[in-house]
Amino acid sequence: MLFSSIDFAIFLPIVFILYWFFTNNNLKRQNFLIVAASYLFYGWWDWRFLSLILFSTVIDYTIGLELGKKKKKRKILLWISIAVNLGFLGFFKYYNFFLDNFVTAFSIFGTEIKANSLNIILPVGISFYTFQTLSYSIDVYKRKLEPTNDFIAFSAFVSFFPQLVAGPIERAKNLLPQFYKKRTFNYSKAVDGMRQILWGLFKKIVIADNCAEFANYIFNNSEVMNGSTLVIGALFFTFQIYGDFSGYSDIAIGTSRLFGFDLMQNFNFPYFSRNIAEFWRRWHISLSTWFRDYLYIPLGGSRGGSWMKIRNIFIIFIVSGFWHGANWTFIIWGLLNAIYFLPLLLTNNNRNNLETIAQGKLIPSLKELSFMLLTFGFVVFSWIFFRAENIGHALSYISEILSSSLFEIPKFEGRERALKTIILIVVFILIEWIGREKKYTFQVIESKSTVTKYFATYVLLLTILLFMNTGEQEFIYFQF
Amino acid sequence: MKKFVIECALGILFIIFSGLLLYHSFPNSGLAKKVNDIETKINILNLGTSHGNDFDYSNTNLVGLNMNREGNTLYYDLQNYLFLRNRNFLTEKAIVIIPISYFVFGLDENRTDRKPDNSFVNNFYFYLPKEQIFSFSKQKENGLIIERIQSNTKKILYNKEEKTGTNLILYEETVKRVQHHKKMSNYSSKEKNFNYLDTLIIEILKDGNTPILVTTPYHYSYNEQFGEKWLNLNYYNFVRKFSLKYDLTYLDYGYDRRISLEEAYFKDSDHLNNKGKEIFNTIFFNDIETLIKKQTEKQ
Repeated sequence: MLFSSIDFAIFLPIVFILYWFFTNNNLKRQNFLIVAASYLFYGWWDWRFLSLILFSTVIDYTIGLELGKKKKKRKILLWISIAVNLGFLGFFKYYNFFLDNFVTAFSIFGTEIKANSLNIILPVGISFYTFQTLSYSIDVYKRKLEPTNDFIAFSAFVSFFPQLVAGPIERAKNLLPQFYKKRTFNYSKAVDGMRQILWGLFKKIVIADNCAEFANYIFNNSEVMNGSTLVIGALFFTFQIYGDFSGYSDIAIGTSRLFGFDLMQNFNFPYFSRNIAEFWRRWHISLSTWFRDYLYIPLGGSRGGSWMKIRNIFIIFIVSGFWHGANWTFIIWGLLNAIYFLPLLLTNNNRNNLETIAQGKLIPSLKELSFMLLTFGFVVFSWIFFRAENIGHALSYISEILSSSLFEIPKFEGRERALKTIILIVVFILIEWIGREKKYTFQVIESKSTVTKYFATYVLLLTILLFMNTGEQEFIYFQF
Repeated sequence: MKKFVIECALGILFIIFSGLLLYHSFPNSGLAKKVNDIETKINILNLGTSHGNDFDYSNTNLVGLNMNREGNTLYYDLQNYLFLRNRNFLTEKAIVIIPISYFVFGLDENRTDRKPDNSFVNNFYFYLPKEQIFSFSKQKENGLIIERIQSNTKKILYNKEEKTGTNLILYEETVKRVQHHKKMSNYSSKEKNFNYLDTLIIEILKDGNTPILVTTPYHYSYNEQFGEKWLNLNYYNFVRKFSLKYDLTYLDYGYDRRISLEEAYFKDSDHLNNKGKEIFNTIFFNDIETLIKKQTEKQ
């Protein structure tokens, strides 16, 4: 069920009403309803994969309990959890990739191997919920978290529908305890949640879906496009992926708030970053911090010598790239970000710019603006690899950009409509700039008068209606 | 809680109300309007693509309706006919003109060759029953309601009619147009289009109506670019077979020297301009009149 679909628009109010009106604020009933609603939500795509979630839930719940009881052989239990979760991920997501690459590698050395790829369907959101359950097992193993003996609460934590398929990837430490606490309706929290949902919808159906139309067209026909058009295509994709993914996160966080839950912030205006380290503190925060806590720090983090630091940075970025998909393009994307990041780490500048750009000011300084634009340029360049079909595609895309055709007038079908989308993007950037010190942009209206709040909400709703792209567009991150 | 629910409900109501207001601010256009405006029964129906002339019936004693539309497919010719017949909009012994463009046997039902995907079928959602729309989807229908609201808003803001979506660049030179049309003629399965035409003819005959196959006039350069060999193999061969199979009248103006050689009658290589349409109108209705006379004499 897509957040931007009619199905979800019917599903959400029904679950909301059942949750608050028919459970008598009974925690067990509320949790049970969340599990039922989440399974329905996920089963809407493909009910067969519900068994995967259930299996993963049972395994990690049992292992968690055993980890709590035992003092010995705890490591074996942890490795079982890791093997099961990563095993699922490996099979569904990476099996064909490894197989194809092994075959290619052997053929380079003159050995022909016959191996058949399997026609594997990737279960939606598998990378998200496996990481979430893994965080539980690891935290219980490290005794940072008490194992739960409430199976329904744990099932609700694993399958919680607002963030099940595309995050934020919640840490068990943060989300699981919320399923034990009594939840009562909170008006301001619900209103805030509703506003965040609306802002997320705006980002998804107005910004991302309109950009997607042109980004897809330009990337799919890049071989006949000139350099300037390809730059526009990369820019469209830059805003598509931001609107799409941060929009999804906003809807997820807002929906959770309607049910009394607080999820972590996943995006914090990443395109206003002044260097790549700041960008990674602001982009897909739940994944970056997951890798930091469960991979980077166990590897030694930034402790140790320069070589150790370099090794760790490359590992974390390459793994992060690979997490996105079984394609060399994602690995190069990760590698590129590691290269961007490295000079900052080695010069100890990676912890600069912790505060919001031009905090308390209307406009940034010239220095801030230039660093922001430079970082943005690096990010746009790396997105070309992320979006391209394969490495060859990305390289030919970039080589055309670097040719003399960069100075030609952009040419592509629907330029007039594209111009309208560009105007929308400019307005969007300006609004985001105004709200950059908030958790999400539309929160700026909170301090305004009631009339202004109602009026702004109506204008936002109307804008969504009048500028939405009616073409069917899935969320990009569902494929990861 | 109560306050929150009321506020949400009011917000939804407000937006639905605004949407409805915008949706109904302009009447239907295109074929949906034509269907809506039918007052008397029709005794001559013109189907087909933009190549089918926008016939002017005012100088004849016939009540006619032009249901041809740009890039139309045989599937929707059939659906339009069935729709009008089922609604009892046709008189007894009505004439049904089936103009056949050179590319029509290769088209996909919903013209998926066009961008944005499936935009061709949009117009039909506004009057055809859902079971007649090829691969109907509720999501698409909802999308069209939104698109209409958006389009009406633009009309209000800019005070002008929006151009309807078309990918045909009408004034492009003949070579490019022919290349494009040849591509269209091979886009999808010919067999299924033969079946649609078969069904259409059978239905018309079953209802006691008269189908007439027509090749509309083209500029000689358009025919030249296609080439006689290509046209015989991929077009005339099939049309003649249909004409023979059902013993149908086939009026071929494709190479008609009275029109084809006159550049002044064309707005591009395969579409007549107003002057051309006027000339073709006279020629065509003379032929139809002769045909009706012959049929009456026979009876």
